[in-house]
Amino acid sequence: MNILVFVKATIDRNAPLDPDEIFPGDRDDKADIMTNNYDKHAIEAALRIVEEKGEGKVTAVCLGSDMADKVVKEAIAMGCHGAIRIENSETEITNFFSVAKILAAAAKKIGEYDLLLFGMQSYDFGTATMAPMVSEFLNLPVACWVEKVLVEGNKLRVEKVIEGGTRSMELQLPAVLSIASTGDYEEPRYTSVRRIMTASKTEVPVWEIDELNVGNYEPNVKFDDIEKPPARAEKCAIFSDGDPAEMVSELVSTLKDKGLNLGAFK
Amino acid sequence: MSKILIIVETAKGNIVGITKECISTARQLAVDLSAELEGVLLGHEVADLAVEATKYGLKKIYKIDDPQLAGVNILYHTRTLEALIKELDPKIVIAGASLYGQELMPRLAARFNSAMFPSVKKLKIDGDELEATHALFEEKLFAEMEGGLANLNFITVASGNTAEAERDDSLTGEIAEFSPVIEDSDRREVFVEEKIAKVSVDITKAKLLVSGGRGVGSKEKFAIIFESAKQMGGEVGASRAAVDAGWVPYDHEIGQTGKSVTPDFYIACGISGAIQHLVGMRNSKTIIAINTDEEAPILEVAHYAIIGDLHEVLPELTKRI
Ligand SMILES: Cc1cc2nc3c(=O)[nH]c(=O)nc-3n(C[C@H](O)[C@H](O)[C@H](O)COP(=O)(O)OP(=O)(O)OC[C@H]3O[C@@H](n4cnc5c(N)ncnc54)[C@H](O)[C@@H]3O)c2cc1C
Repeated sequence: MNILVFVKATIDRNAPLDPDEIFPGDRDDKADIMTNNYDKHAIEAALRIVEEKGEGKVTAVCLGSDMADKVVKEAIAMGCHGAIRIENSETEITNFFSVAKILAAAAKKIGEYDLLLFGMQSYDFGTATMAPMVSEFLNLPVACWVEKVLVEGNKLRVEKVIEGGTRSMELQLPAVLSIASTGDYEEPRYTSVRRIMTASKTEVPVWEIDELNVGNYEPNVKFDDIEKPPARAEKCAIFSDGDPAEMVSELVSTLKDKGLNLGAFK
Repeated sequence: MSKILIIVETAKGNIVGITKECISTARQLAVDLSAELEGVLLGHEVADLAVEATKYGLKKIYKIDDPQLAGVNILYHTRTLEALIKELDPKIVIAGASLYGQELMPRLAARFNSAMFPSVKKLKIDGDELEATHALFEEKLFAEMEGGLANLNFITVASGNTAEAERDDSLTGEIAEFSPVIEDSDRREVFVEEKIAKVSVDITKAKLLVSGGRGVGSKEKFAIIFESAKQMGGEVGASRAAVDAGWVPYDHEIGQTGKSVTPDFYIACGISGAIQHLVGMRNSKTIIAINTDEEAPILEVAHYAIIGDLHEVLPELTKRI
């Protein structure tokens, strides 16, 4: 079972957000970069599938600048057997349509795969388009928001989230999945000291987009201005001192001062 | 006349709310482009739903009614819609950014070698361009997107940004039959089964919601949420974690896969504030969080927060109200 898991670097949740610096390549501090948190659920799924099968290999694939090295290493430190980074430092391709074409071309170049896994969305652009688009570019079956995977020979039985419940599908391998942040893979494993050592010693090949035969990947829909909404007028008022009765009293009197009547519905 | 095609989504024998939001959103576009608003509905035994769809202002419905579509198979839908779109040549195809729409539309767009407008909050025509707003970083930033109207454009509409189109029984529309297109190779994706909860309680009109999450701890302990809601004269809300754990029925779920609510007061108890939850409640007028964790993301949208154990704080609050 050969699994490719696609990972992405994004600005860290705790780093300051600046509309002019939304791509990892815009920053110089590695602390500002994180692995897209949703991708960790995909890594967890890949590792579990291989572990349960007792054989196989997981390769992390990342389109990113050298700021994404951290992300590639983290994937290995979580347990991936190898990784490939596709150089994006100069090109700075960010539009999901172009990225999907490039990732599909990279999968073709790798050639040997049974399963392609993606996080269900990204923290930064959040388009959730990657798994469905790549599946089409490779003409493979796909299921998104998958919480449970069972391998049965050359087929997969998956359970995916739908509004108000779940749907089970059967897919022929090779296939593409986007893994949900809930369900069987809700808790991605941590890296270990031993694995971090392994990661630091693992050579990660860097491919150029030009080598991939992508064809035309110019998108016909473009991202333009990026704006920050006006900051909230008032920050959250936090009551954290005293016993519950005291905190509740403070809250109740603050609400009263603001003319807000929580008791109006009795 | 050019066409705007709306993909009518159904669940449990009803047209889903997000489709009605798509219709509202598309109306202005239809005026600006002097285009006809049409819909397509796929399923099995959906004749009544097709008629119902016309009551929301769709002038013509392409009904694709077939036993092979009894369970939702997105590959069958993609293949069939690809054929329909080629035949109709619409200017714009719109679906809701539901879990279904978000899986279907990128597939469809890819088949036309096209990018798309994913999960848009606003949509307008400016000259010969289509412009839309898409949220980045879980709604901390917003991006404008643009694409030429000369191309066929695919759009998914994010929920909670427009009022749903109202049903108007005086409206009529044409129903046209279209056959499913399914190739042998499409049997690589097979629908097996679906489990969907029934909904019987409507919490969306409540002025006060007391909402519980995984932090409540257990089904037995969830009684405190029901008790407080009752005493304060409100309804019960929940995160998906609490619903999945079986502590509270799906009727109460709030967020991406549940309800969108905007009560006067929303009291979030033991809910961390994952974006999938926030999208359903962030427009509530006053949000109060009760959480043991001062770093919980719910505090980014809450107006007031008490840091403490909800099992101690909530009874105290109920007593004081
Ligand atoms: C496709 C998809 C769709 C989804 N749709 C939805 C949706 O519609 N709605 C939704 O809610 N989620 C949805 N989710 C799930 C979402 O991502 C989160 O997993 C979920 O919202 C977490 O629920 P929670 O906040 O109750 O639990 P957790 O994230 O586990 O948070 C529990 C919180 O309780 C606090 N806590 C613990 N003990 C106490 C105590 N004694 N007193 C006070 N506080 C305490 C903790 O500090 C923590 O903040 C979806 C996920 C997917 C994959």
